[in-house]
Amino acid sequence: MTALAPHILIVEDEPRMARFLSTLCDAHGYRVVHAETGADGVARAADHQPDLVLLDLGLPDIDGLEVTRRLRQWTHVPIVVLSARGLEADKVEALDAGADDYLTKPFGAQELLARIRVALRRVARNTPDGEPAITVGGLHIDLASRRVTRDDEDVHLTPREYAMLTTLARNAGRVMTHRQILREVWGPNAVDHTHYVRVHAARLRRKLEDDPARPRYILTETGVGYRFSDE
Amino acid sequence: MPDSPSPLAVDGPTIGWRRASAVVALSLGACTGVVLLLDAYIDATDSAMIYLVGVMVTAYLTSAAASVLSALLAVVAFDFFATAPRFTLDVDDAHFLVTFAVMAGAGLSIASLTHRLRRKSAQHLADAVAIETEQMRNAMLASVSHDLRTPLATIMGTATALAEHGVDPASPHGRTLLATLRDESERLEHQLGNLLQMTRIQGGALRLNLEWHVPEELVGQALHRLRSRLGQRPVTLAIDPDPELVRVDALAVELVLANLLENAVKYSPENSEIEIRSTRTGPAGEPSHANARWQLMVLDRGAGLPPGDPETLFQRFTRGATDRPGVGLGLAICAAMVRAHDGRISAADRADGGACFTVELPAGAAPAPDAEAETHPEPVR
Repeated sequence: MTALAPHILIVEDEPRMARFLSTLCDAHGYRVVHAETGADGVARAADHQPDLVLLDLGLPDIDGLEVTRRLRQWTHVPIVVLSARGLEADKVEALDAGADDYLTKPFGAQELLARIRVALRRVARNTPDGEPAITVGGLHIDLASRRVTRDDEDVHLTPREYAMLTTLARNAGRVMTHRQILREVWGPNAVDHTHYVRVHAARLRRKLEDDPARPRYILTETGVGYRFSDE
Repeated sequence: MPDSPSPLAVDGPTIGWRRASAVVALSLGACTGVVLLLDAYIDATDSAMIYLVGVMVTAYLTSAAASVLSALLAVVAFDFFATAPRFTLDVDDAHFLVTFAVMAGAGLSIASLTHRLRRKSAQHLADAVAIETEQMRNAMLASVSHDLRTPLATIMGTATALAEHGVDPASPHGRTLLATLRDESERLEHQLGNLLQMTRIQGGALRLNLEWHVPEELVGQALHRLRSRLGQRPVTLAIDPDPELVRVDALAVELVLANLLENAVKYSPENSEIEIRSTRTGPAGEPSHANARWQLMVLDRGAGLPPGDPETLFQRFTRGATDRPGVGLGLAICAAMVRAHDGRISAADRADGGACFTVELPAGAAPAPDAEAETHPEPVR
């Protein structure tokens, strides 16, 4: 990243929501551009080359899903979509279309800032080689030697469990849909077997979490997928 | 051929079923005609009144059974002809659900009132019905708006104190106010969520998204959703350790559990223990059998259930105690969600104090496991 503050494009038609988002981003040192329609959002993304896009899914002209598809034709800029509870299917569609993350309205400032930080950090470290190891709390994943330790004790994982853990951990902080996890770990023919993912998440939690019902590393996003917490 | 006396006319004037059905059909037809004619000048609530007049006429001319039938058909006709979208049984606007319920109630009351007051003047009757309709509707609206306004009032007061009365947000007072603002918004969101869900259920728009889920994860999500409400409250979990899958709608189950937990928090002393138990049981100890059931219990150490039939707790707009906040919708939603799953919900007092709510859902036959993982048990070092 350059020394300049990151540039955030906010695509939101509701003026009060847009004001809340801009004020908050501005107060935390981000530079803000605002678009009120989907078409305007696509145009401004081309003009301003933002570092991140906050995208409302329910826009008056073209919906957020279509905006995501149009942006993904030419840019990898992180997209965080904003949508109401109960519209989980829309969020999944946006994520599968290439959005990086989502937030459910209403949300708090902490949540929003955390998502922005995670998305910007992912871009910053997205080097072709990736990282040789991931450490969060007492959990250490050595990708080079395929070794997982918890509080310095070896954890024995099946190949699938290991593949699922590393898929999530490589995308730390970001939500991954069931479909995305299935494609990565089980291959393209298994994308409808969401219960494979749930069973493996339960097994991983049993091996990695202190209290599997109140997980710290592998977080569930109901109706959407899983998120590996790196904080 | 003369009409023979029919069972419809047991306690009314002795008329035949043919005449009764003719009166029902004619009065409904006439009301619909009037509603459609006056369409541009009246609103839907007036249409409901016109249908109620039709029910009244029917009740005056026919038997009790025929007037009950007429009352129910009037609700259907009102839905079909007078509420948007027209000429479908769908409804756009949630407040018509209240109107439907009130109309059915009022229609049935009319049937019985007319029966008793058959000899009194029609004008008298219309007044009584109008008052009763108004009272029922007012009671429901009052209940809903009270419970939405309470958090909103706190939010408005707190926000104006901060924005207009110079309370410094960074001062200890200011920080308390800001925390109140956050908590009350969360409460408002929870109650709006319940109301929205109830509307969906009643509007017939509830589609269950049945998938295989791990009970532990569903319980964990409900705890996560209520984390700020639960605070430091000790919640003990007794969940079968093996990830036995259950086939349910995750969002619905989370909502049921969140409402039961919310209830437990509200009606038991601070810092007293709440317990959640989850078991999957099958016939003759075969938990993966197709008839297996998933039993979920939420237990608290509060004062127990209010006196009376526990079943009434699951009806709309009743509340365990009237001095506590809450839309009184929570348990009604639980019941509706559980019914949608073909399950059962019940409440009982615990022998050693407190209340116990039990939800039982069909769990389904466990699906095929991930075959490849089973055949490659070779662990990663």
